[in-house]
Amino acid sequence: MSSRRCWTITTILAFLILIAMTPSFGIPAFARKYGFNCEMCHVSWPALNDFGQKFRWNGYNIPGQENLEKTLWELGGPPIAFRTMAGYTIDSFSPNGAGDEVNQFQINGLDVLGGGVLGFRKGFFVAYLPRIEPTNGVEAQDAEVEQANVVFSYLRSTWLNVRVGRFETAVLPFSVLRSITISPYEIYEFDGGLGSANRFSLASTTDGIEIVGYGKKPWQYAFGWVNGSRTNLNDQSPADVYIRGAYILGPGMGQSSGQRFGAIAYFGKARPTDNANLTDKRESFSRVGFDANLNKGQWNVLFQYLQGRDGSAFNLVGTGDYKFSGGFLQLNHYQMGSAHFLRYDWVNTPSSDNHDISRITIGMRQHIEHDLMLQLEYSHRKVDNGGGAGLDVTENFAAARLDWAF
Amino acid sequence: MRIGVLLVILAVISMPAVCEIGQIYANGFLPAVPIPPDNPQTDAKIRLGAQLYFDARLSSDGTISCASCHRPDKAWADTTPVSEGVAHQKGMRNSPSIINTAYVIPQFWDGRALHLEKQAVGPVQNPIEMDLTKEEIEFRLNHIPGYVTQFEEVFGAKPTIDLLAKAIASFERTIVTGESPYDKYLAGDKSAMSKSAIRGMELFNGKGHCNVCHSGPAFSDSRFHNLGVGYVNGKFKDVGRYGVTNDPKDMGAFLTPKLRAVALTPPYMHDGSEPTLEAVIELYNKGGIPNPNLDPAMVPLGLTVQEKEDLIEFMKALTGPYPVMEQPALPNPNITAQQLREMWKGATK
Repeated sequence: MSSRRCWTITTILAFLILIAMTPSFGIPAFARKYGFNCEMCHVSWPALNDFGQKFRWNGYNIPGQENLEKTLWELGGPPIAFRTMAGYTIDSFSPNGAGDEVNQFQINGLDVLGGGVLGFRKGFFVAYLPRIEPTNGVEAQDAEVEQANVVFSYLRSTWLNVRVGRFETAVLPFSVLRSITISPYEIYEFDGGLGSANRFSLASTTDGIEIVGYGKKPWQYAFGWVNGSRTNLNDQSPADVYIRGAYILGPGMGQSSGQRFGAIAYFGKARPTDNANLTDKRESFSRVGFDANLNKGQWNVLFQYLQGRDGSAFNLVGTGDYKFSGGFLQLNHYQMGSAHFLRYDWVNTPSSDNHDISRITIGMRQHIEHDLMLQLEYSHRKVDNGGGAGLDVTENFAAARLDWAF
Repeated sequence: MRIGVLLVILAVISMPAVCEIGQIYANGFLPAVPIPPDNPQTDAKIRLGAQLYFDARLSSDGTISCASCHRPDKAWADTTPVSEGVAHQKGMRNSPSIINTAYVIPQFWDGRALHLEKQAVGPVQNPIEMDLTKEEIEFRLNHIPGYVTQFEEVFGAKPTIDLLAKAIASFERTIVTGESPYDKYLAGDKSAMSKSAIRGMELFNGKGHCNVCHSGPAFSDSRFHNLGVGYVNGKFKDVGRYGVTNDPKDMGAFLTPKLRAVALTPPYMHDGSEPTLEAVIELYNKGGIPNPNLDPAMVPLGLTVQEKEDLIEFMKALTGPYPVMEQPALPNPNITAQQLREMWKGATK
């Protein structure tokens, strides 16, 4: 038997053993710990519902059940979960060669997740991405500690919850890591493109300290002091701060019920070393925007508008600050066991750059089991190529994947 | 190949965690009824407890017994929002079923009694319910010769209020139900519950968030939660757990009720204000009633009509066979409460 076949069989057997050992509600980490279904915290995993959002902010303690929870030490080890996607992917570009063409079955990444309670009002969360070599049918993945943080929750009240470590910032109204779409939120991912040397992306997790809070009604806030995006160059003392406020109308947390309106502001500094006009000084940049999360019955609308400004030293295509704007509008419909979504993303770059981005995404997620989801998604993306006629880059992405969390 | 190695390693290191994780909220099969070491079950004690449970002579005017409000023909609960005590007085709280109450610590909606032995002495001394003093209870028991004989046989002592409580607690520990369609389903009989009930079970453990508080063998976490019930014009009609602890965070909080046979025991909530299961689920669906102490687990659920129906079907599937009994023969039935009251008055002049 060849070595490859041997490993394949071993791997399958290991997974089968794992599945067989999983309790009847064979779902990851927290759900398995409590014997809950994933819908306890998710409208359609990984997207959180109101309860899941409270659970996260509460340091992975069930709200109102603090001190009843088994700690990491009492459990004898951290609850560990895995998430991976596998299926058929078609990704084509025009003109040819403008991107990496894909038309095959693929495994798309693997997340190793762990989290729980360290002690009274003290929780933790870790997300590790192992390195995966790109081979035929396997999408590459860099090894990364995507998240590793400790949460000190309910310090005096729900108004004061502190998260320290590496985390996805609460400045994002809509989580990138818990999006129900494969296609990314363009405005969160946007890192200057060809026009700016600032490699900052709101979508990146970051290192620092964050305080979030909420009252009975109707306000929520978040404040953070962080290193900045791990893809830009900020190699001095932490210089990025952000603040977010949100107001909620109606019942709920504005996540899966109630109407939430929010505003964000992110101010940072980074070293624009990519720029030919190299400067040793750090240059400032900012992101400000507003958002809305509207819920009506099984319908859910997400809206984000954002303006970005990278200081002039970042500007690779003109003089003055590099300014851009964009956002998205997403319509979700959640049913028992399924979700449907439609989203339009756009990014407007300065006229001196003129690499505007637009994307339309449509798809669905269908629960097969608690821990297994079928995702069908189509996305059409267009990037203006400097305004030149006929030179725009278009991408057509289609995927039919199983999303497996176990 | 590296992926294979990695996955195998990950699978292996995760095994202990998967095996050892406790499902602290899971509702499994009914374990053995917990019996306190200082009050072991005996047949004679249970029989005595049953007699005391049904004996209205333990109320001041001879009209109310435990069974008046926790009626065996009504799944050991009552059908009115609040039960009537002596002289048709009404309290503020709904009479819960005693089915599976042996599994719940503490007792009463506000948890003021830790065990059944402490609970049982409450209503007999409550002026709205049975309205007797400790001294008069013991006097009455000691003037019913049959009870004196039975107490001496069971406890080796003359009747006291503490021994009365032990006997009633022993009897209540026999009122248990566990073989519901839900239990059969968990045991492997996949036809025991309807598809709707199975969906309801998943909602119960998921989107409905019910399992957060309704956990354990009796579907109660034995904790106190504020749903906002009874919060009107900025005040609670009933302070609930606050009355026991004087802790402001307990204002308006009540013990999580058990759910076994819940479909048979309307009305619901501590004040009996919700007439049906549909109304209860609607209350939860909107996230409770906003108030400064609303339990943080209460959030709007966004249940569809079908999902609400499914949850109710699951509630119905929690009903299994439970003991039903007529009033047993009481000792010295010719001795009435009125006679005992006159004797007590004469003795305390």
